[in-house]
Amino acid sequence: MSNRKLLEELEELRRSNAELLQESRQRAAQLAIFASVGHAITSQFDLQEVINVVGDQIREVIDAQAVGIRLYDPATGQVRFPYVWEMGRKLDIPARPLGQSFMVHVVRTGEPLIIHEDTEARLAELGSVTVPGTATARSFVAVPVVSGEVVIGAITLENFDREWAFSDSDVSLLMGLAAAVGVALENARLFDEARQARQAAEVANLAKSTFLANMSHELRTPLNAIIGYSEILQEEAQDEQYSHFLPDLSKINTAGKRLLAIVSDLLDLAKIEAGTTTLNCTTFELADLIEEAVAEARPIAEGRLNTLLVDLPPGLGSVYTDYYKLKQSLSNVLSNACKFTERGTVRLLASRQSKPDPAPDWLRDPFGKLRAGSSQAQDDNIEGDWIMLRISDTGIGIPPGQQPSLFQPFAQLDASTTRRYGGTGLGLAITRYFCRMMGGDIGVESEPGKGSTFTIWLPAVLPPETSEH
Amino acid sequence: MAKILLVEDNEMNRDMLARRLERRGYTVVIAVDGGEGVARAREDDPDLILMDMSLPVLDGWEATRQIKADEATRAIPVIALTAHAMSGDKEKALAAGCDDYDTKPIELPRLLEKIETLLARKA
Repeated sequence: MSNRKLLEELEELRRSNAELLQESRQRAAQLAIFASVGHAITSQFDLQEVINVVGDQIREVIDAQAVGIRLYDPATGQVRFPYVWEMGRKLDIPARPLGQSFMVHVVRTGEPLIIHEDTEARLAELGSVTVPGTATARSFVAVPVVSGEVVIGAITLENFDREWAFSDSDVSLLMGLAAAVGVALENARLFDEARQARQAAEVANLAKSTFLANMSHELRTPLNAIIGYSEILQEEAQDEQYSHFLPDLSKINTAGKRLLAIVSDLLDLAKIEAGTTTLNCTTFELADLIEEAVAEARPIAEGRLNTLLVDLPPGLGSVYTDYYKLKQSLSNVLSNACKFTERGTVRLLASRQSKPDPAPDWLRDPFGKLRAGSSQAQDDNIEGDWIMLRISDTGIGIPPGQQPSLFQPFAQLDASTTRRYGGTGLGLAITRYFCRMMGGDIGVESEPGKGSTFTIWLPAVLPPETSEH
Repeated sequence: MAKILLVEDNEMNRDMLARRLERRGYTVVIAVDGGEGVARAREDDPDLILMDMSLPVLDGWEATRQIKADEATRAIPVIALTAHAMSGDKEKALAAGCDDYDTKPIELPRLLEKIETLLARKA
């Protein structure tokens, strides 16, 4: 082989190496672009931000004197110009109808439009009207931005100095970026839809809460009339020797009271689910509340021939929490105990302690911290001011397998229980929710056939800011 | 027998409670809003007032304040009646000058006990 030939081959090798190097540099630059555009799309829900990143990145790697991103809205037939950069400055171009630009062609074909020569004439043929104050292109590329099957915009490149300014690799890079803009547009549209759906849901939820509040009043008023008038008729029937009406009047009265209790439970649960339940804290004597709940439960206990024992230590003192929710919680558990026990004993024990000792597992949240609405929960320091209400019965008990679902809504043991004992199966779910709202909880220990013990632990004094009106 | 002024805007609640009190021998005078309640307290000289708290024209708290501010009616005991769900109403009622408090729906035996206690104290 001659020296000359060898030199030629070496030169050839050098050149192809240089080309390879150039190509891999270009490739690296393109990958960098896609990385930053991809980042913009995933981290930004603002479409304009994504468009700015795409436009700026194109200017970095492609030698063009004008870079534009335009968006076409099929609904209005208008083309907007969210990004126009020309000869070193950003331009603000007003929206125009589709018919006044090459976009008609791009929208119709869905294909890139590449013009290497006679650019001005070709664009005019396609119906393009030059935007006043902008230069005339000698090389031109437009690639469509597609969302779904529909062309919704284009990315354009222009060179004002020379023909054949853009290579095939420029066009393929642009097509990749156009696909990215399409994804960003789709994201922005979905995000907007989701936001609108959420707003609509919030409005509907508010309407539901208002409806429930009104219904609460509308349902209770006639029920109170049924209950009240049946009581009056009972009194009058007794006094005026119509005692043969008494059993029926008593049934109306009992059914009315039961319906009122069910309506109240359903409305409480609906309010909990609508997220409109708030704490309304006041200072009151704990013993007063207990006596009121016991007075309500006593007729149920007596109806089933149960002994109701109440162990109230002196000096329980006053507490600061939600009177209605605590009363409701205690009444639910107490009336359950009286209902599910026959010829047995129901015992209520109340106490006030500096800490739940031993603190039951159910009084801890999933992180092992003690449930408490006050600073008592911090550092698992359970020293504080706690009240305990323990209700034990000698009733039918609850099988271990059914204990976990006891505090779920609609979870009475089985359908026959509902028929035999009445109730909605909502009471304990509402009670647990109320107890947790008040910074504590309720738990159960039970053995079938022997009886059940329900225990409520609550902070005696909630922080002042807990009260919401 | 004692005369009771019942201030209550709901017709059925008013009718039920008035009938049950009359059946037990009380004389019952009716007012349908807070303003009328204040006027009746002055004109009819009742022995006791049962005051609903959510009333039109003048609510029960303001009506009670006016009754307790007037030398002529100050001594008449007032029992506030409110919906049970409104905790905090007890304190508000006592602050307005009510002598006692009970919740609706009415438990008649409990209310009668409160009425008799206040009437006995007055006598």
